[in-house]
Amino acid sequence: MRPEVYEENPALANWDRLSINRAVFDGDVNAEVQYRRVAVGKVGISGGPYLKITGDGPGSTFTYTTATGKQRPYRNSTLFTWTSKMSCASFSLPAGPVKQGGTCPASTVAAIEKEGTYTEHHPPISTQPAGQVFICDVCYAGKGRYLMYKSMSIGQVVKLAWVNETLRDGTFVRKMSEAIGSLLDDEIEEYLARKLVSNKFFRIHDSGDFFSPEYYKAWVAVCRNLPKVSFWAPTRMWVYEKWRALFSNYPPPDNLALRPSALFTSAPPPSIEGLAEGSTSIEGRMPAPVWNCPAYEGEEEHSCAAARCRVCWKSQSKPVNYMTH
Amino acid sequence: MDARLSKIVKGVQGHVQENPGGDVDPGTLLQLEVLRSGFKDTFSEDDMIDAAEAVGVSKDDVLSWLEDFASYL
Repeated sequence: MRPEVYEENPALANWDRLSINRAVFDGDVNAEVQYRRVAVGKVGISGGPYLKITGDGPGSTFTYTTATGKQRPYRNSTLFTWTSKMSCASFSLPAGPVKQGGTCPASTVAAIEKEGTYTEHHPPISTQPAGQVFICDVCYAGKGRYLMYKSMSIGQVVKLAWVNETLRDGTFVRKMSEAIGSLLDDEIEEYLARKLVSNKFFRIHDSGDFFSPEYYKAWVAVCRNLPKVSFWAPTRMWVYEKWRALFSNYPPPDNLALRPSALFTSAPPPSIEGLAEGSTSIEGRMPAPVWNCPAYEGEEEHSCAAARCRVCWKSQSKPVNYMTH
Repeated sequence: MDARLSKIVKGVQGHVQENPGGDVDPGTLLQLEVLRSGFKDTFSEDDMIDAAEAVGVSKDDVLSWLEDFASYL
């Protein structure tokens, strides 16, 4: 059978199709985090914190059907992704509009224009130059392999279910702090270093956003619990006046580089009081003081470690341009 | 399995046989070779899982491996 490649418009995020993939998950997520020893073996990094999933299948296994019609079991979802690209662990939630099961309230033009006050910090979307794009419309987490692999969607839905459950019962901060803290081990550090991956850096949301004030405050508490770890998260929530007030009244701690992201390509990186300098995406390099992400400049491995760069985490006064690729 | 992916898998297996104890593990090498091939958004989820298992990624780790691969742009 021919693989589904979504050829109708592969350059655009397809939130409707993703919402179908997300709806596949009807299993249960155990709120207790399980642990396997982190190891670097013959096939890369394995182990670490994970979530147990159960379903209605034989032996209480949750199964899903791939796009090519094969039934596959999905028993465990790792809490973190070992993203080779960012050379650290990261946490991922469903991206895109809330209506399609995403956690990004500010991912549509309508949702942003409704509030309006973002124009104090960013050119109006109505002035978006011809040839430029609304960045969320081309979000990597809404197309390509994120769209093709149902297991990606299921894993993110599982994590969101776990977040909601642990926020509800008041255990999110403890469990997330323990999970990230479990990586702060000398032996694990040595293992990870062999793969140019660091346990001293963490990316919050390689997909998704801070979908509620409660969730944002919980992450602030996690960061405060782990002062030896440098955290980085991009966010679009700065477009809302009440969120700018929240960031001002409840600022991220020094070890959290919370970067407001631009709304359309070529827009300048936003600068919001209380947050790290913002990020944007433009074809080609921008002049200083903007830092041009070097991870995509080399011919070989595209990663933060290979580029020997940790600016997104450590240099909060530098705006960043992720050059269009 | 897609013939192009099958060829990549054979290449990874051959490289590992010729370089036992090499710096790059077969799981990572498979990711890199698919990315380099120009077909990174082409192979189905089933093909990628089968390919990963063929080079030694365990059933327990394969979905995490796939998630890592998908996060490469």
